Amino acid sequence: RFREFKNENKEKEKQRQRRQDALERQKSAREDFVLKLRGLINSTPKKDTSPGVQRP
Amino acid sequence: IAGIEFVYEQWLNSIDILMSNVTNPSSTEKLKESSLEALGYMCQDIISPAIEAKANPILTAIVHGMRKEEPSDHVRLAATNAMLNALELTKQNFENPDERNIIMQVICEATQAPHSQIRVTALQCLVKIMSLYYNFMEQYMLRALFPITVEAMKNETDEIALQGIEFWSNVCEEELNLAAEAEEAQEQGIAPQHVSRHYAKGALPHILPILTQTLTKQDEDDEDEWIPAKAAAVCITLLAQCTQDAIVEQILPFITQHFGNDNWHYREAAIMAFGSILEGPSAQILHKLVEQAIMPLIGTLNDAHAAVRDTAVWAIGRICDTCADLVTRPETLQSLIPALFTALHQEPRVAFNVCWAISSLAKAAYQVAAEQGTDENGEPATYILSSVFQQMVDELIKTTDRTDANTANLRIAGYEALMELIKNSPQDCYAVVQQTTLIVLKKLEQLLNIEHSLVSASDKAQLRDLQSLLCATLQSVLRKMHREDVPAISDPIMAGLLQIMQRCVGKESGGVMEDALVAVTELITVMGVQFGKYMDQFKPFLLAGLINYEDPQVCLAAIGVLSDLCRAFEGQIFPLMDEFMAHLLKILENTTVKRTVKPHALGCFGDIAIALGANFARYLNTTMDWLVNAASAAQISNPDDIDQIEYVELLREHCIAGFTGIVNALRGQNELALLLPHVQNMVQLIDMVARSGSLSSESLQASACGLIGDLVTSVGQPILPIVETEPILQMLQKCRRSKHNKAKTLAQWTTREISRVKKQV
Repeated sequence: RFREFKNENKEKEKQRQRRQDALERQKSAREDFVLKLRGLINSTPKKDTSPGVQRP
Repeated sequence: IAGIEFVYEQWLNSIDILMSNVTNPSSTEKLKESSLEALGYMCQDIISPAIEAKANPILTAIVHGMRKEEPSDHVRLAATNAMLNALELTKQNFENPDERNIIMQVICEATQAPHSQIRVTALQCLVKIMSLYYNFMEQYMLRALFPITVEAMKNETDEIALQGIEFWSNVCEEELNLAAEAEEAQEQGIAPQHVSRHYAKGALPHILPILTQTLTKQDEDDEDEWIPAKAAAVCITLLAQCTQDAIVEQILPFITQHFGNDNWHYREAAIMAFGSILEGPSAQILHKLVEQAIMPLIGTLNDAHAAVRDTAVWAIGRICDTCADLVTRPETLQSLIPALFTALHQEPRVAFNVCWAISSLAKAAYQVAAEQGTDENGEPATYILSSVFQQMVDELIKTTDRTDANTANLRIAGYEALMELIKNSPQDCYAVVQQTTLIVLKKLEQLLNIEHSLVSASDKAQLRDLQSLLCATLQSVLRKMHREDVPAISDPIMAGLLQIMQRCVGKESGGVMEDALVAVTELITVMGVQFGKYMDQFKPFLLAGLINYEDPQVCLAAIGVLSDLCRAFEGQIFPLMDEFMAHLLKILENTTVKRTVKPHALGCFGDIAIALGANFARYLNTTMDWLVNAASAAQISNPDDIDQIEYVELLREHCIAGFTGIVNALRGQNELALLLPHVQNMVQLIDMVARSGSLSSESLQASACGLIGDLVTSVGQPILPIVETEPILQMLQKCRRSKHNKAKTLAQWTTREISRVKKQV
């Protein structure tokens, strides 16, 4: 709790989260690409996955 | 030495010798103390079933040393320290009521020892016991744990008070976990394994007055010290999450009474108490509370005392997180925005929290606007901050240029806020986003120019963090950028990124290389095949990343870039592929590569296959060998080993991605013969996923369903007997009924494909 309070590693944690998000986006891009090949989606994958934005 | 020996079940008698050193009445004080210290170190450092089997003699020695009759404080303290380290090993002893009573008794007695360090350590034992053995604590709570910890909270010695507060913070965390477990069990229609005794709710009226009083004992200057006032704020935050609405009426009198107190300690404590309860209570109650408080709170941003302004702006940031609709009302923003801009020029600690509040506000405003409707990219046309967006960007950039911006992490916070603003910007702010990109690029250039002049390690570390953040800002910008506008800025972006990567070569980059690679990935995604003009310059860095086994994150990011290149370039990547493929195979062959990296290389085979289509035949046998071997090794031998389950999941997920890509690449009639010899192996992996039941995630099961569909589509009728098995059909049925779109869509499609193929007879 002390470390959390001091925000120790907070930047590292945010950095880690950003990278995790990048990995997730790549995974999602791969899945969308395959879905397109299967004819299950027509449009190109969406670029932004900000919070609050729902995928169709 | 014991750490080495115990693994081989050797030298275990050392524990018996140490025990008798402690229990032998003729041992000297020093021998007893040293023996207990040795036992404590052993318990702390050695994870081995051998030491667990020796829990009894260890406990005998520790309990003997902790007794209140022990005349030496040194011995008693060493024993209490050893107890703290031994608690994880004593599961069986805690299950036995008699033994548990003895352990609890000596620990509780030690919390009353005259020596304060013994008391602190004994209290630490109680804190840890609450986490490890919550379900055995009922009989001790009322008579012992509650009075002991409440007294500790009131103690004038900070270290003792901190442990008293920590105990209740831990109780809250445990009960929050138990509440989550109960909710999960309810969803599954089963009884939870452990139940909450709701100690936090019961103790609330007794501990809350102590905590609020403790809030008022802030230090004037020292922001980094962990003191009871800060621990109390954290404890109130957890109590609010745990007890929800119950805390509101009990804490409200303290807040209203002291909000306008002449003494800044009380004003700050009241605002801190308010900010701490913003997560937990129901939306309705919270809404009412915040509605009343928001304007007075904005008023306190002019308070004479920095600590009060600091906490007030932090509380406003929390309100933005929890009450988006309220904080984005025009009448609120009319006062809030100018107040935030003014506070951005105050002390770095205050400005830091303003940056955070601006981030939260931007997210809140975007969320509210997105709920009203978005375009096909998920972006709203406008939002309530559009008219001040430019000014917010300007103010934040000014903040990052402040001469004191390296204090209190202010510069980093400024860029973070800038990034969030860009990320959460609607369509009508696009022009500002474009301009901001140019500013960010200029900043990057400045940073690269000053790098060589920095000497101290801390300056260099801060610079690396900043470079990472600027790469991340570029990622946000690129994600927002319209495809047609990218060529105008891609040259300077790529030049900056290439420079950053060049400077990372051959040294520890602290994550900068990885962030630069991820930024390149965004550029590839948005430019598509046009990125080809940078390939000559970029390829050496990508290849270097693929063989950077010492930094697994860089290697992982490089594999990700290769996957994205395949999607962007499709068949045009073929001439480069021999070299890339050789690097991927080296990752798999190398025994020093971190094991979590290898699955990603296997998944990348799928992306390569899709890009190359029939040309992938060139790599088919080699890649199939790796995939089949990996898939057959991906077995769960111990369902209790979470690490193993996670790794197997990762491996299976990427093997399925690899197989899926290959099946889709070799769809043509001419390629079917190449595919057929491998079909059985693929179905075996699908079967393993299906048989693993709930040990496989739904996402993995969905991917497995997708692969069945691909195989059925490609191979047709002959495959049906091996995929229409009980476990696979059950998995399909489960995914069809899933709440998650991906699982449902894939399972339904596969079922349709199976029916279609059946009808083709």
